[in-house]
Amino acid sequence: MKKQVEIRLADAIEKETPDVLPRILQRIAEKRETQEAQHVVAPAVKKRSPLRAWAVAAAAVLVLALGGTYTYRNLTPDSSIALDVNPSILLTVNRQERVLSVTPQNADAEVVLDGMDLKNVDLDVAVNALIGSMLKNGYISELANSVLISVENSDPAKAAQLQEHLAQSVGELLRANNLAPSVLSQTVTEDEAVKALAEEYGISEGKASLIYKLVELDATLTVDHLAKLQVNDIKLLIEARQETPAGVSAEGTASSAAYLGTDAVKEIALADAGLDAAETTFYEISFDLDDGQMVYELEFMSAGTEYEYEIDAASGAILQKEQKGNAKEQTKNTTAPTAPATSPLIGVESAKDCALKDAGLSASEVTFSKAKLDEEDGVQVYEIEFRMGKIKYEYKIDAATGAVLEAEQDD
Amino acid sequence: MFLMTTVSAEETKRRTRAHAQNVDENLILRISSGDTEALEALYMQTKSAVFGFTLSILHNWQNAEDVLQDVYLRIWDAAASYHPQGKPMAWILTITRNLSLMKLRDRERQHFSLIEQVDSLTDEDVIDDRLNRVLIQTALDALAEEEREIVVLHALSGLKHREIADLLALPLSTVLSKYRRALAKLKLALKEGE
Repeated sequence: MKKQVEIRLADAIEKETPDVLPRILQRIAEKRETQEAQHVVAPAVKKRSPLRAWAVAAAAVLVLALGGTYTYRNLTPDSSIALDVNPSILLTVNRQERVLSVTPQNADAEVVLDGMDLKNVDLDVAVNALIGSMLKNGYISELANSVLISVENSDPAKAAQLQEHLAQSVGELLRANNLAPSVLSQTVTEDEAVKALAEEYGISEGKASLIYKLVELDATLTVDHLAKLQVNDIKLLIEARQETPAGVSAEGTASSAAYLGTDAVKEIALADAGLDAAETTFYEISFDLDDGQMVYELEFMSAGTEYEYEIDAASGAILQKEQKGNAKEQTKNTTAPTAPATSPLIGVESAKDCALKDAGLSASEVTFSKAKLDEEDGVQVYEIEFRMGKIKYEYKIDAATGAVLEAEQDD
Repeated sequence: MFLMTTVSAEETKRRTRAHAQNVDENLILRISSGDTEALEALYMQTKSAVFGFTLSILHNWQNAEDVLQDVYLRIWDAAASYHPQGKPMAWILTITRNLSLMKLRDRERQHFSLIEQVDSLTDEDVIDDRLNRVLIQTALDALAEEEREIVVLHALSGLKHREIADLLALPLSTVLSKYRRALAKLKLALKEGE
């Protein structure tokens, strides 16, 4: 998704790109003339001797024949499989899906392995043992039931097949242990950028790849913060976005049992606002990440006033709150109170209308996901977000004038 | 106030599409067989990304114009050695980067004076042109070299952050953080220019 400043810059550069095509074509015409002139005198370009190519190929065949096909087939890694929960374990298997190596990629993984020797074991048996140990050691539990499976194989079809198979068998293993499974799976390809990201944050390449895809989807999330999260929290954030990153399959629901739960945070917000649940309509309660902390975001409405709360998901502390209505506009922030508005505001409904008008859409065609008053560089703005089908619109509307300050569209 | 243009959703969509990485690989194959029409088509599709990228490296209008021309001449010569990998834009931008860096080294040898580039800005006669140039100049001045390259590539080439990281040989995390910082600086700079 491009930001509006980028679009303006791109637009200016497009308009200012000088037209050098005539000069290029002229130079090419000149080149051709000189080449044709040379062609008459110069002898034909020498081709590489075909004999040499044959000799190289023959030598290669000889090495294969003498080197033994047995070891070649059985000791060559075919796929690599990474399991991430918080323990991160990397397995490589040969073409027969027998385990060639097991590498713990963090301290938790060493606890899980605990001296287990899985070499030459069938992949399914190895996965069974590893998941079993993660359950026994409490890494997978009612509080955190999410597993990330990343498969790499040079043959995309085989990688996809293995991905599906493993996702299914891990799901069954969790069910057999009376847990509702939550599985993320992906195929990954060798990628220097992802490798560098993994090294920098000391996480597995599978997790780095997932984080990278998630940041591409939602730029408000940062790599720094995501890298520190366990897979279960990442899954909760993905579910809250109602959109799975491209190339990732998600099954089941991540457990939120480690956190307060929607009912509890609703009560906290209502108690703080002094409202009764009966007179309140909630239209959003979802997980989000604020400064690396898992939070609940709540949006609700009561008697024409809109409320927005951000509550620490573990402690229930209110981190931010805002309320606004057409009659009385105010912004509250528990940590940094902002100055009251100096000019009268147009109100959130008018702001929505401005955004819709700009997009050429009507209220009945779209679903609003956000409409909140915010302050940006000292200017009060309404942040409006809505979707039409798969297209997401984001607007910033000047809260005093109704002018469209930023418009973004992502499809 | 001239910088304060708002962009309608329709426009946004159209432009995003125009910048997308949709360069047809076949054009390069056709160029390798001596097809100048294919070169023209490729030029039209990619010139802004090439120009923006070289401008962000060289930070000088005239030099960037020279490199723009050289890039397509190099493409003409090198098309036969292009291996189709589905990444024609990355290939073109690699050429652009190499030629820009060569230009930069030439210029350092010649003790290039910065005054020239200021002059090249003021001898424009069309007002709208000048405003666009001021916007570009303001934006580029506000950013450090790598930030310029990252933002311009993201805005114009259709390359993803990961591909930009590959092209510039920077870690992905660096590209992402520089990109974010650059956008913030850019916002501020363009606001001040209004």
